[in-house]
Amino acid sequence: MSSHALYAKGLTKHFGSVRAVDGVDLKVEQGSAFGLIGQNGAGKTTFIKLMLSIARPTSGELQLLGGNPNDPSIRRRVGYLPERLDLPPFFTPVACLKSIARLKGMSTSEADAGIQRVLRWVGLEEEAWERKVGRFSKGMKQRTGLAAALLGDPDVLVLDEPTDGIDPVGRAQIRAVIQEAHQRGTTLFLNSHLLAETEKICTHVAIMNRGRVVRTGNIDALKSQDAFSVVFDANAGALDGKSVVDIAGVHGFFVDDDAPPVDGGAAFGYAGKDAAELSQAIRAALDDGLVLLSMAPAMRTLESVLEETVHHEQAKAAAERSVA
Amino acid sequence: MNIINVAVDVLRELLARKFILAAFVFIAFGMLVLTLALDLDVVDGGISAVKVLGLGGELDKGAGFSASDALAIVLKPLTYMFFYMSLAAGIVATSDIAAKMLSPGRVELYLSLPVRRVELVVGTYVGVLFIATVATTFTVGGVSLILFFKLETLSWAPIAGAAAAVLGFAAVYALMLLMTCWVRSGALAAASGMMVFIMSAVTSNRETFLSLFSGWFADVLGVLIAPLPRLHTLAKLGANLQQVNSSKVEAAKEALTFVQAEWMSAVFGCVLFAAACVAAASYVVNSKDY
Repeated sequence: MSSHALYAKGLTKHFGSVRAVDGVDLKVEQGSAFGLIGQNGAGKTTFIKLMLSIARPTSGELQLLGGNPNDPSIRRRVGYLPERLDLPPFFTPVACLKSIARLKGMSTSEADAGIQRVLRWVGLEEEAWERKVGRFSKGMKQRTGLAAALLGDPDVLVLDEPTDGIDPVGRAQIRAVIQEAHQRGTTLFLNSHLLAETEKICTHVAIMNRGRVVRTGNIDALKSQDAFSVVFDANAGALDGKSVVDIAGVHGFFVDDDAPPVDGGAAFGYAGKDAAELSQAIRAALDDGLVLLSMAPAMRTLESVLEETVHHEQAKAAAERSVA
Repeated sequence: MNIINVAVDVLRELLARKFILAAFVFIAFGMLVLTLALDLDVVDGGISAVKVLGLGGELDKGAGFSASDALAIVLKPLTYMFFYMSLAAGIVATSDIAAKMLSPGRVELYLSLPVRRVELVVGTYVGVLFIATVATTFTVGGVSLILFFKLETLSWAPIAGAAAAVLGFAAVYALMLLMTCWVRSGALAAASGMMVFIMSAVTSNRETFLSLFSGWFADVLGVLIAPLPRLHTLAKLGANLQQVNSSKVEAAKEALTFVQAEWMSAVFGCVLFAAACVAAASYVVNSKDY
């Protein structure tokens, strides 16, 4: 269990009759880049708050860096950027960071060196260091918040919507900072609605739906499983007057409009992860005159994985309700 | 240690406010006016002041009237004025401080740091109380020094009066802090502070007030107002202390008698009320999810 940056077992949080987090089991390896995704109200932010002892669990077990997050010595090793960051508007970034350094128990010399380093790291221009945070743009506030989270070289970096409302250039810069922190050995725990960001930063994700973790794993594995992408020659002859689409459809292939276009090819998808079944379908299609140009596991976007998972869970819940 | 660190944050937040800075400038200006005004003949000035404040009757009662006597009579109503004005200003100036510390986006950041929740509450309280003490010391210390250089007499009475004012504010702010921790509203905190402020007229004269009622209603009312701080008694304590230096023996004795009889209940009542409110605020924050 000690190799886990985060370990949750049966973690539950109720707000009255609402189950914001419902029996979550989750393990996050130290040094990994982990993303939490799901719809609004899925329980992601509540889970993060439980992780940091900002909210208290109703039941279940939770360990952060092998200890209780309620313990200040554990939280000293964590950097956190909240979703709705509210820095004191009268403070300058340096004053903000000095306050955080004091509260983290850093010495004055450690703090001074650390503050300069992280402010440069997040790309906050030096002339802004002594300006009041209240006059900052959203992007500059986020950079200050990220600098605060990075101060003291935390073992775990918990970022709740770090690039929300930031322009694409700023987003790329913040992403680069986060990735660098990860390369230096920091465990990342990211909650973002911007799934493209999660895809670029994280190696593993957990999908939350109605307070439960319904799917978890390596992003590439989640994106590639359960489907194949197949391209047949669109101009193949001897098809007995039938179209490529018709023949492919007979053997279980469906037109994949999202697939990248291939010169002279028609892209199809094939649902299912059984390779033997797929090869049998392809052989049958070839017997009917189709010509295979390429075949690969279908790499869906994280968005489509999330969408599919949520729909599946909703259908399951509806079926359960109808049975009840 | 983090109590002090949180208190430092509160101080910085308070000092960054224009209202607080304006108050310090206003106080400094008042002291400048006092310094220049005391260039007049002191006793004449004192007697004039006494007459302006309608206290001429006391002046005519005895012979051997000194500058200390005039000063004592002038300082008494001034202490009342200072006590209530500073309390009201303190309530307004600090009402939203705890609400800001506990605002969404700020409290999460604090709680994710190695800060215990009780440290956050007590640190906020200590920070606000510190600035109240500094403002009071600045005012009263300044006035005392001016009087010392002009009259060559130094009295501890204004300092004790100021301490009474700080103690009163400590009790009021503790309740404001509790309200904020409970509902995270600066407006409600100010309202609760003002409620205690206004109720002090009742709580400091509880026997007279309760005599207006009878039976179980009076008993219930008595229980309800019993824990509230007796602010007017504290103000009276501060005001009477101003007379201790008077050469009029009777007035001095009367002031000291009051001090001995009342200070225990007024002072310890305020301390207990403040401690209970801060403990309750800590409990509320500790049991809450943010």
